[in-house]
Amino acid sequence: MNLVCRLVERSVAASVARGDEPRAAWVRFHLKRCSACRQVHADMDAIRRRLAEALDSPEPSDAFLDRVWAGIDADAPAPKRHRYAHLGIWAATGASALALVLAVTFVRDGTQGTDQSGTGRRSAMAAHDVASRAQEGARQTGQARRKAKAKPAAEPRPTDKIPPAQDALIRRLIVQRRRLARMPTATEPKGEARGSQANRGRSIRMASGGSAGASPSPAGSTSPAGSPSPGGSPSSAATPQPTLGWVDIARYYELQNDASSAAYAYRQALREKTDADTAYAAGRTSEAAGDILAAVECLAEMLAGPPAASSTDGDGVSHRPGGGLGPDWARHCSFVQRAGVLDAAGSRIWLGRVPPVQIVFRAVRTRDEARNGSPVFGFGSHPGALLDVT
Amino acid sequence: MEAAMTGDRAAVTDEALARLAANGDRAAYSTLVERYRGLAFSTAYAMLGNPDDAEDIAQEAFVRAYRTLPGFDPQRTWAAWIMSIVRNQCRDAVRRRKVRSAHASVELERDEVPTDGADAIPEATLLETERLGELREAVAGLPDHLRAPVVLHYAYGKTYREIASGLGLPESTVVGRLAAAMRILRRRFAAEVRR
Repeated sequence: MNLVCRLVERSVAASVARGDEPRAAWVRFHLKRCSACRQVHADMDAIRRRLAEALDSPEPSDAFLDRVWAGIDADAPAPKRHRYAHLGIWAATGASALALVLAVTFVRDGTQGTDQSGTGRRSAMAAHDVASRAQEGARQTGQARRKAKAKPAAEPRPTDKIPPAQDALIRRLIVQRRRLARMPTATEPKGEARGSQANRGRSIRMASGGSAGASPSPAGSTSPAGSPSPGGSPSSAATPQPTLGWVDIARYYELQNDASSAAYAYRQALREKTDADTAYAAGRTSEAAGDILAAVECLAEMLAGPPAASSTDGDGVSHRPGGGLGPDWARHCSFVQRAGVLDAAGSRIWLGRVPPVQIVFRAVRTRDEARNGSPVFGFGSHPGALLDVT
Repeated sequence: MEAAMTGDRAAVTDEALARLAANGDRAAYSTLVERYRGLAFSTAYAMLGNPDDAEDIAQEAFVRAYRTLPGFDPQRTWAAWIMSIVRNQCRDAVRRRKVRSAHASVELERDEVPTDGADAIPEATLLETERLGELREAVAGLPDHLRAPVVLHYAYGKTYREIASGLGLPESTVVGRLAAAMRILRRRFAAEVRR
């Protein structure tokens, strides 16, 4: 294929993509004389005809609109636009300049002791007020524009704390949970009502009488907190006090697509109680939040979960006693499941790109080997080397 | 605007509907969703290759768009805005998917074709089905920036203008990418299509 033929191939490809014949006269002329290029044209035409037949074109479901509204209604109402937002940044700048000029005028008048100073002061204050409002409106507009323009669908950056602004949402959830549980309305301690920093590391107590500084409740759904709180009254110790566990909070944040807060809450739950469900959820959400190291840590914790002596999973494969894998691994950890189906010794799982983190499965056996009596899984050559994370 | 207030929403521009929706008119936003759900879904499907993921992404994009409606710039078109949200959602989904993709290709390779009743199907039909499947896989194996226009054009019959709107590209770039995809596919399938 010479240079002319390559140029013709490009031209033919473009014409086929457009769905018409080559337009340039020299291309048509070349096609009449060159059988190879005619073949190229015919091939591309045939592929174009088959593409429509080969490719699926699924359509969105009928419930699309309903689900959109369900998603919207599950969220907080859209924020109101500021009254002066439409003025934009230029109006804000102009108003600021006007305020400055008036203020300077006022100062001059004031130092000269004229009776225009009162008027000047009022004008300056009014101008300053307008400028402040316009600046506030422009700031809100700018933030919203940057958010929408730059990356409206961006995942939250990994953080170690639930953002203070989310406390109100947590509290709304608590109220909802109380209504659902038909709990008697109770006044919560002030310290907790403010969502103070000290309380964020603990479970949120729903019933009255519980101290904000109470010991962390077991993670999970609403359940009685049997232990009396150190600062609580004797009556509160005797009354079962349902609590909102970290897992509930984490699930709530997951519904809100706030992966960072969900990961944080799951990790808090993991500190209170180690189980495969929570560890996997913590790893998954940490991964979604971009906190790769935390994800690896949590997933490794899941893999290193309580040993299942002679346990059997759904496929009838028994786990090696003391092997470091909980009985629920297949249900919770799909990539490990795939690694088990295949002989994945030495296979690598990449978690993110920056920084590059990989998990190397060192000695994963196949299920057939397991059925023959060999150990199913063995990560690493010694007990501490469950995963090789680099 | 008047038409929107009187219920004749077909004649109302997207931007006017967006302003109404920003002021709390849910029906206006429903109209916008109905107008663009097809393009949003097909674009997401073209970029992700999975209808379930595409539907989730498209729905989430509309939810996010509603949430940020007060920040909608009237100077921009609604189509460009919502599609930019869809594309960003898709890119995030692709990024998340790459995290877990180490074994995905292996899993796809091991998907077994059901063989029940295969003997009753004529051999020519099987061959044709197999070739179409190979072509489908070849399209799936195209680079992302080439695959999306191919799917939108050949599977959904979208015009270049619609594709350009969906992907945020000039129309000439769309044609160029379709041509590049066609050259790649021809090199791989030249022998098969001549049979």
